Amino acid sequence: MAGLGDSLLMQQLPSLLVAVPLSFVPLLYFLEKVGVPARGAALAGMGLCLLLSFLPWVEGTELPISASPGGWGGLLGIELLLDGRARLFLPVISAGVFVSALFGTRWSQRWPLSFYTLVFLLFTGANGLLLTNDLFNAFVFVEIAGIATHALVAFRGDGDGLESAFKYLMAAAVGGILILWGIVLVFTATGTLWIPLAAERLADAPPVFVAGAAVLLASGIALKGGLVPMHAWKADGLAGAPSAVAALLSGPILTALFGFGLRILYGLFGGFPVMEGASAVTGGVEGSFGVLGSAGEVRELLRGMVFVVAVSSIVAGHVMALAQSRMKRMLAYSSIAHMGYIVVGVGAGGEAALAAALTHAITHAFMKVGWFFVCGELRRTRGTDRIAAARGAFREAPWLGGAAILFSMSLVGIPPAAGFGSKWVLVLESANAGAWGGAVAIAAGGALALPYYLRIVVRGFEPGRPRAATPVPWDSSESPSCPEPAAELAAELPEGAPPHDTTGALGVRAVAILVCAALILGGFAGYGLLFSEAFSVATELVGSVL
Amino acid sequence: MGAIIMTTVLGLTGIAIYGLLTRRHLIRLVICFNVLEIAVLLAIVYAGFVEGGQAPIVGGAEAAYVSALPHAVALTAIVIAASSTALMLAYVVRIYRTRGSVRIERVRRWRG
Repeated sequence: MAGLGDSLLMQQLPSLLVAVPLSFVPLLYFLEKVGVPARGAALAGMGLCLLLSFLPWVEGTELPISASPGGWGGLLGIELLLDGRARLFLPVISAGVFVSALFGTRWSQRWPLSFYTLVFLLFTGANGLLLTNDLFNAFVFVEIAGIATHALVAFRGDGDGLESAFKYLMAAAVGGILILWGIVLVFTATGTLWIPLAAERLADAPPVFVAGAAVLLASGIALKGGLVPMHAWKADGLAGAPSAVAALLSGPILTALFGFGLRILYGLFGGFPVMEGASAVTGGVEGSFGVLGSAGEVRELLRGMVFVVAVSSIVAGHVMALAQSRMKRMLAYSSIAHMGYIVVGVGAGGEAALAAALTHAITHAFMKVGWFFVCGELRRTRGTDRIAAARGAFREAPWLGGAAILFSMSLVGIPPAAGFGSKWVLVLESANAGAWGGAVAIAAGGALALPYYLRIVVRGFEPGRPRAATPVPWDSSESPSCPEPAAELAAELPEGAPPHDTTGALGVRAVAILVCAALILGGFAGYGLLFSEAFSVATELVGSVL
Repeated sequence: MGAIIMTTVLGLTGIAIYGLLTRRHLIRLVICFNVLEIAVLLAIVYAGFVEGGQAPIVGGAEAAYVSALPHAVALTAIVIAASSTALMLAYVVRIYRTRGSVRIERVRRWRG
C-alpha cells in the first residue's frame, strides 16, 4: 500500500469517480452483445465504484485531491475537487446505489439493460455533483442525474408511474431553471463559473446580484430536494416509482444535493458568520449575509425565513406522513421532515450543529433506503404498499419486522439507534444558537414520527392476513371515479411480465446488508467514528470561512 | 438594447410562470416550461454580450473579445431542455393512452 497516497490512481481519483460509472453506460450494452448479462456486469461495475469511493479513506491520502481533465486548470477547463465533504458522502452514494441496484425491481429483471444503464447515469450525476468545482458542470450533473431519475420513476410504464414521473419532471425541470438563473447572475457579477474565482469576485460584487443568486440557487436546490413551500410534488413523485427507485431518490440523490448545497454555501458564498447564530435554507441565502455584511436587520429577517422553511418542513412533513394510508407516500413526507432537520442544523451554524446535520444526512439516507426495501418486500408479498395490507406480514417474516423496527428507531431517534445522536446534538445546538423553534420542532418531530412507524410495525405483527389476501398487481380500488379500468392496466403490462416473487432472495440479501449498516451506524462506537469524521469535515468547512 | 432584452426576459418569465400556475392542460404546461427556458437562455446569451466584441479565436481578436462560456452554457442548456421536453412529451403521450385525457383534473389520481 506504500505510495498509494500520491500514486497516479489517487491523483486521478476525482475524474475516475465520474468516468467509471459513465463508461459503464455504453459498456453494458456492448457487454450484453457478447453475452455478459447486464445485471452481473452492472453489479461488478458498481462494486468497482464502491471500492473507488472508499479509496480516499486510505491512510496517507492528502485532501483535497484536485483533478482537471485535459490539464486546462480550473479557469479555462474543468476542476473536480475531492475534499473532506466529498470523501464523507461518496461511500454513502455508492453504497446506496449498489444496494438499490442489488435489490432492483421486477421491472429491472424484465428490462435489465435499460434499468442499469439509467442507474449508472444517475450514479454519474450524483458523484459529479458532489465533486465538481464548477457551476456549469454542476448544472449539467444535476440534469444528468435528474433525467435518469425521471425515466426510472416511470420505469413501470403504468398510469401511476407516469403521473409520478410527469409531476416530478415538471418540478425538477423548473428547479433546474432556477439553478440556471442563479448561475446566470453569478456569471453576470463575476465573469466566471469556476467556484473559487467566482467566490473571490463575488465579495466585491453588487449585493443585489449576490442576494439574487443565493436565493435562486437555494430555491432551486430546495425545489429539487422538496423543502416545504415547494414540496407538493414529492409524495406524488415517489408514490408511483418502484421501491428501489424511491430508495435511490431518497438516499443517493438527496445526499448529493445536500453535498452540492454545502459546496455552494461554503465554497461560493463564503459561508456565514457562525457564532452569531445566523441561519440558512439549504444553499446560499445566508451566504449572502457575509457579503450584505453589516445589515443586521436583513440577516435577522432572512434567518427568520430560513427557520420558517425548516420548521414548516418538519411539521408539515410529519403531519402529512401521519395522514397517509400508503407507505411510499408516508416515507416521502417523512423525508421532507428530515430535510428540515438537516436545514436546521446547517442554519444553526457552528461545527457541532453542522457535523450533526452531516451525520443526520448519512443516517437518514441509509435508514430511508432500508425502509423503502421493507416497503418493496411488502409490496412484493402483498401486492400493494397500503399500510392496511401489511397486516401479519412481519409475523410471517420476522427478519423483515426486525429490520423495520431498527430503521424506524433510527428515523424516530430512539437512543440505541443512529438517529438519536444526531438529533440530540441538533436539538442542543439549535437551542444554543437561540433557534428555539428549530429545537422544539426537532424534539416534537420524534413524537409525531413515532405513531406512524409504530402503526405499521403493530399492524405487521398482528395475527392474520388482510381480507384481500391475493396479491393484485395494481390496487386500482384507490379512487372509484378514476377512468382507469383494471383491464386496461393489465393490458399495459408487457406479456410475460415476471411474477412478483422473483426478487425475493435478492431483497432478503439487500435488507440484510442494510441491517448490518444500521447496526454498525447504530452501535455507539461506529456512530462516534462517523460523528468525529463529520465533525472534522464541519471544522474544515467552517474554518474556510473564518 | 439591454432594457429591451431584460424586459423581454422578464415578460417571458412572467407569462411562463403564470401559465405553469394556471393551465390544466399537460401540453400547455410543457410549452410554459419551454418559454421559461427560452427566457433564461436569452438572459445567458445577454450576460456574455460585449458591445463591438469579437469571437475569441487565438490571434484573431484585436478589439475586446467575447467570453465563450455563456454560449457553451446556453448550448448545453438547450440540449438539456430538449431532452427534458422530449421526456415530458413522451409521458404526455403515454398518459393519454393509459388515462384517456391530458387535462390535469381528469388525469390525476392523487392529492394531499
